[in-house]
Formats: sequence, structure tokens, C-alpha cells
Amino acid sequence: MIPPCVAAMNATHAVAMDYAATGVVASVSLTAETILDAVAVLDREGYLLEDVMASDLKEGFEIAYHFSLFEGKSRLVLRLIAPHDAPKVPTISGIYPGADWHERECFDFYGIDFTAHPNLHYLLLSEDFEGHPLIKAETARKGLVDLMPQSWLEAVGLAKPQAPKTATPENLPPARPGAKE
Amino acid sequence: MPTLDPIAMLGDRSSVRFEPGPTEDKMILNMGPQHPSTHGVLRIMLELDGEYILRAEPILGYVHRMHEWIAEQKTYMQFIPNMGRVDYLHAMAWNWAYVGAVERLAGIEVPERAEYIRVAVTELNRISSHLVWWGAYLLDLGAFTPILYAFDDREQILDILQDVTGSRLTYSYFTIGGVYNDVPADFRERCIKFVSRMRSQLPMYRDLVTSNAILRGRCEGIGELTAEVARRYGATGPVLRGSGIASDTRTSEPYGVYDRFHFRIPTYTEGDAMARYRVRLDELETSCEIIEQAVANLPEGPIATKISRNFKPPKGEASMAVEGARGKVLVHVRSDGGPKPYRVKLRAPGFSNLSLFPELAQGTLIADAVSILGSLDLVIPEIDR
Repeated sequence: MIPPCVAAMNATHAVAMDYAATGVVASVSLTAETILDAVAVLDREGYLLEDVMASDLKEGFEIAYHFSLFEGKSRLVLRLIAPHDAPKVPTISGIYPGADWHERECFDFYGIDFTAHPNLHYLLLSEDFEGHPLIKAETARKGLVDLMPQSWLEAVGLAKPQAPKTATPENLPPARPGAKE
Repeated sequence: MPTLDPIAMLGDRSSVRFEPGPTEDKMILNMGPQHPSTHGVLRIMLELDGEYILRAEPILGYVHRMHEWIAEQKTYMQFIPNMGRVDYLHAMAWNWAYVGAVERLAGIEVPERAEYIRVAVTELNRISSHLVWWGAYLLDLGAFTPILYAFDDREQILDILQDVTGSRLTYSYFTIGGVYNDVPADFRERCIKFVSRMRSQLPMYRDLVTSNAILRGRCEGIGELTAEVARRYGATGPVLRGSGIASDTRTSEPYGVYDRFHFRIPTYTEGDAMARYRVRLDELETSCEIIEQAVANLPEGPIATKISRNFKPPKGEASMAVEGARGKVLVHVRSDGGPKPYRVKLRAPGFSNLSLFPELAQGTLIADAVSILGSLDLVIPEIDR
């Protein structure tokens, strides 16, 4: 279920997720321009910042901010894509000071430049380390189509709604244990 | 004459955020990475004015092992042993968070018996973690004897868990779909015996230690944290509950069979080191209650759902939050449908809790900083991952 405060966020897409299958109640897609306002909305609503997670996708670096309330199944994920050649994202550490370290960790592993961050240095890696170890090779990168659940892809328009129960390779039942690959 | 700058002379690049020193009324002090109260290998740079802390900055990474990269190189099953090595004091919580995320992703049902065993071993492990914290914290504050009592009690738990899991510290007992092997026949009796032993010890802990005037002098009113600051820093676990917020993942988003258990979430409103201390001591009793209910209701049946050896979950992503001894343990797993995870992200509660330290330590005495640091209950391998 999408919480009402998401309406105030100017989101590109807001998709309700199945908590039992994903552990998240809603996924909100934003851009580098709209993220700060969206985070300010969550701060007013009393959300706690859980973490900031980056992943290396074909489309660019995806930054996912996880928030939850003190009570109830309420995990929200705000996500945005930053291009590989100039991954610039505004820092949210002005609103949530706890994001400071999480963003530095994303810088460590992916080299994402959080603009206006007060202290963007290696946190877990040594100061004289060079490079960003979790960046994938061009050939190893997968796109959102390969990584996101079908319901999300349909909701954001990246996949056509599938007619149920047709025998396409995607919705065949999983192979039985011991069956040949 | 050029200013004498010992930090520049040592070529220490971690000091870039600090102005050259010392000056007449400022000193830069490195606390750690070998300081006993930093529990392992945490280093904190302190800018001091006399004994007062002007600024503190933790410097991490001394035990960084890049678990998130290792996860991408291994199959889903092969990564489970790493989870016992993230937080060595509460390994079961990390086992559960990772395995639970994969189960959510693949839609795997866990048998009832396995769910109850998971609860029982996780709570036993939580007690052993809190006992180590209790002993070590008091050691930081100058009381030597309590750690001997704490380790004596903890030894009983380690013996029980050794017979269940085969290991004493770095458990990799959970498996995708259940637990690795069944509990021994006398598990129930031993748990009940341990719980009654623990309960008989708690009044002694309270009388001899908690009400001790020196301890209270070192803890009360030290490192006060408001709920609002805790929320903005993402503090969870006893640190948050010591600031008056009764938030616990076991009740706020129940996982496994926790919704069938009755237990109280200890909360204190003072927000100081003493409040965090009291929360953890009360949680010993909470965990005892849960263990009693878990072993009393332990059903018969299978202990794991069989899964294929070349297990491949469908594409998608899943998160799983578990209440660890230090707070909310959160694991995110992304799958592209292959045999290895595409991305695994580990959210360590200690990481967010430690990020509070510069805020709490500012303006305090250096001796109080030791007390504050201990009250956050840090396990450095979890923070550095």
C-alpha cells in the first residue's frame, strides 16, 4: 500500500509492492532533482533512515534509500538512477545526518559523487586506496528489466502486462529438485 | 619557522579533516585502534581542549572484508557462512536476515519446527551477546569482576548452542528453507534450566552492579540522546529504546513466528548511557520469556524445506529486517535469476549507532566518551563488514 505522503513527492512512479514477497510496501522512483523534497516529506512524517544502497545497473548507478516508521510494516524505498559517466546526486545528510556515512559508503564502493556532502572521503576503504571495488564490468551489468519483479516493471511501463497462464519461459513452474537443467 | 605538524610528519591521510595541531590549547589524540575500550579495531580521532572533546571522528575500515563483494562471487548457499562472521556476537540475527531475504525472494515456506528453533537459538544468542556487552562495558568503566560472572553464564549458552549448531561463536546454522540440523533431544530441558539459572542471577547483577554508586555516576546523564536525533541518525535497538521509543522489529514488523509470542519491549525515557544499560539488562528477561515460550510450543515435524542444489531464485529484490542485539539488521538481496546474487547489501545497526558518536561526544570529558562508546554496544566487524 502506498502511504498518503507519497502524493506530495512529485514522483516519476510510485508502485505498491507486496510486503510478503519483497519486505517493502512501496517503491517510489524519483530523480536527482526531486529527491531532496521527497526526503524532506518523509522527515516530516517521522520516518527513520535505514540505509542508502547503491547498485550498478545497465541504466546507471541506482541509489535506493530505505526508510521505515517506528511501528508497522512500513518500509519505503526511494530510488533514482545516476548516469555512469557523471554520477552526481545531492546529499540528504542535511536532512538526515545519519545519511552521511551511508553516502560515504556508496562513494567508497561505487564512486558516487554526493554533491554538497560535508565530508566525502573513503570511509571503509583506506584513504590511499584507488578505485571503487563494486563497479561491475560493462558486460556483467544487468538492466532493470532483468532485476526487478514483473509487477514493478508493468507498473512503470517497462514490460507489457502478461496474460496469465500462457506458457512463456518466464512463468513456467520452477524445475523440480534434481531435474536436469 | 614552520609550524610543527606531527600528523603531516607521520603522513597520516586520515587526518585531512583536522587542522594541523597541536596548538597551545588544542591537542589531537588518537583513541585506538589498539585502545581497549574500542573493542577491537576502531580508531577515533579526538580534538581535545584539555580533557574536553571539541570534535570526534571515528575512522573505520580496520577489519573491512568486503562481504558485499564476496556475496556477488558466491552462490546463495555458499554465502551463508559469511553471515556468521559479520557480527560475531549475534550471528544468528545475520543468518536469519540473509536467509529470510532469500526465502522472501524465492517464496520458500519454512516449516513450523524450524521457525520455533530459529526463535529459540536467536534469543539464546541475544542473551550471550548482551552478557558479553555487559561484562565488557563494565570492564571499560573499571569494574573487572562482572565479566567473569557474565562469561560464566554465557558459557552455558555456548554449550547449548554448540550441541545444536556445532560451533561456539560464528554460527552458520540457518539454511535457505529452515535450519541446518535438528536440536538434540535434551534441548528443551537445557533451555529451561538455563532460563531459571539466568533469572536467579539477574537480582545479583542488579544489586551488585546496577545500583552501584560508581557505575551510576559514570552512566547517569552521560551521552544523552533525544528520540528525534536518534531517528535522524537511524539509531535502532537498545540505543533507540533507551530514548523512549518502543520500536522493535520483532513487534513492529514481525518475522518468522514472533507474532505468536507475548513479550514486553523494555523502554526507558532518559536517553542516557544508563537508560541503554537498563534496556539491555531488561532484555535478558525478555529473551528468557521468549525462549520459554519457544521450547514449550516447539512442534514436531521437518526442520527444512528441501531446495535444489543449483538453487536459482526468480529475478527481483527482497529485504528482510531482523532485530539483532544491537538493533535492526537489514539485508537486501537482488537477483537476476542466476545462481549468484546480483547485489547484496548489509545494513549493520552498529554502523548507524556509531555514526551518532561524534554528536554525543562533543563537549564531553574524554572519560565520559569511553562510557558513551561502550553504551552504544559496538561490534567492529559488523560496522566495517
